[in-house]
Amino acid sequence: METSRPVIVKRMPDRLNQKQARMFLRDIQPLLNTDRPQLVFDCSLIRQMDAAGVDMLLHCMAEVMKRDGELKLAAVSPQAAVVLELTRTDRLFEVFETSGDAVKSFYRFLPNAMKNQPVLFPMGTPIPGDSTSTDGAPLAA
Amino acid sequence: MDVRAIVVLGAPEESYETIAGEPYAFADVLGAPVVYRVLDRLKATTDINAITVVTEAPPSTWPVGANPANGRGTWLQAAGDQLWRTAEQAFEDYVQNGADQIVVIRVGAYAELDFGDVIQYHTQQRHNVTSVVDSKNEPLDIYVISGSRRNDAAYLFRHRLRQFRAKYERYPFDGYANRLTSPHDLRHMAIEGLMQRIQIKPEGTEIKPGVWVGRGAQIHRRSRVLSPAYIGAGCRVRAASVITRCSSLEHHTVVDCGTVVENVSTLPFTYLGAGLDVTHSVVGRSRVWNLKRNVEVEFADARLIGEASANAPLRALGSLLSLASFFPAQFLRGLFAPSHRECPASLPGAISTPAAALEAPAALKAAAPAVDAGEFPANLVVARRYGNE
Repeated sequence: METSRPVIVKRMPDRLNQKQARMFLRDIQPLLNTDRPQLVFDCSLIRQMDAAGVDMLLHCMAEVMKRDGELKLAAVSPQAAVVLELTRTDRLFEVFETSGDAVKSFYRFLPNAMKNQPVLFPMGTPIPGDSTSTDGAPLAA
Repeated sequence: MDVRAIVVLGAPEESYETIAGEPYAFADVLGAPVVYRVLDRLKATTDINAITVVTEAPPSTWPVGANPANGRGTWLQAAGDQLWRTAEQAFEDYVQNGADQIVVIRVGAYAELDFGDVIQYHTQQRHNVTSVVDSKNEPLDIYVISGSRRNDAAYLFRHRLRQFRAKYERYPFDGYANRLTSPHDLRHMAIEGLMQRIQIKPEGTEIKPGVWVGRGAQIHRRSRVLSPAYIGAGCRVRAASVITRCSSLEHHTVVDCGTVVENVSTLPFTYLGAGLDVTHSVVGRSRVWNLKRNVEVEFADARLIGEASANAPLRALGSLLSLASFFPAQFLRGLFAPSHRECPASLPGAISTPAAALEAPAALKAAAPAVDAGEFPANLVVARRYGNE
């Protein structure tokens, strides 16, 4: 049976050079090693990021994907956004405006959530306030 | 009539009108610094007997050719905060040498003004001081002052061209004027020049319609340069790179392999690393001013955005060293680097392995389905799941 796994939000440091990237990676290594990790990196503090920082993000992405997990970025600062865009890595990540949005996105398409949805309008019945019938033709007055 | 000019390179406030610590007046636009564009325009539109350029910047930072022999006027370095005092002294010297009218320009703004017309207007109307204003009635920091009005000029200089001692006249100007106060303005000027909407011409040869190339620029045959574009003198555009959307590469810019340069102006001696997407920006001095996001980003990593040496022998030495180290590095890589391809143990394995060109990237390959379908509830018919699941 599908169970909800925790989503972990990790705030990234303001500078992501080689030293900081290594420290950050050491910090999150236990999280990466879990089964199907669900991670959000909050990038709001990043003011400077170099190639080592981008490499670290790609490494995390690869590790998470190996374990069938997901890694999303949230609140990306303009400086980080410029570096990600410059290095063509922005398109590899799902990016959200806030950490909250990123966390919510993990729960959006779970089968459990779909299974418990009540059916409000059975097939074929007109929806109140809708001007079209189920077959697309306008409803009679 | 003896007409002379004083060009002041300085802002009313410190750290204003500078890019990477240098005044915009020194920034190159389509192959020539803005201050040269102003001087050339001044000489082209009126008979000027002498020009003095006053700046606080040390001579080592002045643009190449900043001397009277090149027709660029006499350059004076003002000590400390004596910029306006030096300009005032230059005005007095001109008056003592018999100047009738003196044009004072603060760069500042670049305006496509007919200076001859302004001087004629000033003379005919018998004004003491004439200030050129734009369509919004804002001063463009361009003045014509009669030689006899020494005190008016002194007052104006002491108030950094912001206050007048006596009544002055306005000369309305509704042509192209760019105040050059931000990287947006610098970029705008380059675009307007490339689109031929203003009168500045790119310094170089037009090798095909809309593409200008400076002396000694090297463009790899497998790169693409889409019109309009400017490739400055001594630039290198390496293989598989693309230069597009009014991009302007100032002299000695290096665009490394596979990089896309779109709607970008570079400062001289800029290095753009390999495989980048550089878009909507002004780039130089290890910085990117992103115009869309309105943010300045400094790069400590020279592999991404760097700066080439302004010293030609040093640049040549660097190229030689990289060439000399290329073959040994390739040899060592061939000896010690692990092969990415795994040999199948048996023939059936070999024939069922996809061709190398069809292989997915390593990261995606690692994400092959790890969860079998049995995990889903039996009554679930369609489940849309994200990404790799």
